[in-house]
Amino acid sequence: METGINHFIFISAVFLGIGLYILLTAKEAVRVLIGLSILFSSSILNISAFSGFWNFNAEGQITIFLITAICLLNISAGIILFIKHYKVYKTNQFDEVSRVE
Amino acid sequence: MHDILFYIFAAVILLSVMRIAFISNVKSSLKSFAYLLSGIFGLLIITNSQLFSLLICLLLLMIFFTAFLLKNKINEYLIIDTGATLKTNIFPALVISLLTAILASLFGNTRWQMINIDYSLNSFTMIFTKYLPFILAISLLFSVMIPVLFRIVRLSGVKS
Repeated sequence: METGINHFIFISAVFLGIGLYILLTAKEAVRVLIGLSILFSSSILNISAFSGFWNFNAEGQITIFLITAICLLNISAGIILFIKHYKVYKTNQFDEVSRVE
Repeated sequence: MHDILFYIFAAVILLSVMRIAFISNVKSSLKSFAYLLSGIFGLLIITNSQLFSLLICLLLLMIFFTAFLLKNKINEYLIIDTGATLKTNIFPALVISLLTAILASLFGNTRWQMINIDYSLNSFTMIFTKYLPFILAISLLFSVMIPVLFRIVRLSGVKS
């Protein structure tokens, strides 16, 4: 079966759904960051598929550049917050914080 | 050839994402995340975005080297509960699977205009076009942003 744009859309939709599940149900800091990066990479995959299939337009590539920059900023902010969290509560699990307090 | 590669990389991505979602061990989640990045690397090559696949390849190498160099620190940070049992969160799983089904069925069944990928044009030929000023501006932004981020992360670690 020849692959088309629909296959890429299907994969990125499934990818987005499971990324959301990981982000919403995460208890560890590491898993939150992984879920966030999965969400961003699903959008990158979708945009790159559209950009590649429509005669390779450069605007799509620039959009991917910008999304990558936003993703990097989010992840670095998350790392800073989680380092602070670890230094204060001495744990990387969120459900243990309520027990400490 | 590209079709077979697409199915292989899609299988790698889906398996590793399922592994991240449904395995409680954080270390194996991180390993699966590396496999996931390699799957995305492959799919980006298929969709003719070689420049970004190269970036992801560099990111993968960076993650592996950091994990190797900071092995002891990571072991200290990751609290591994070996007796943890899997807790399925049924409500979020139901809502999200509904959302995914709607997204996949709506956009996956749309009759998109089908144009075959032209492999003579790619990310590298994009560099010397009218978009050169944008690319220069973005690369300058990246070159400033990344050292500043490293600096901020280091300072936030030292202060408290």
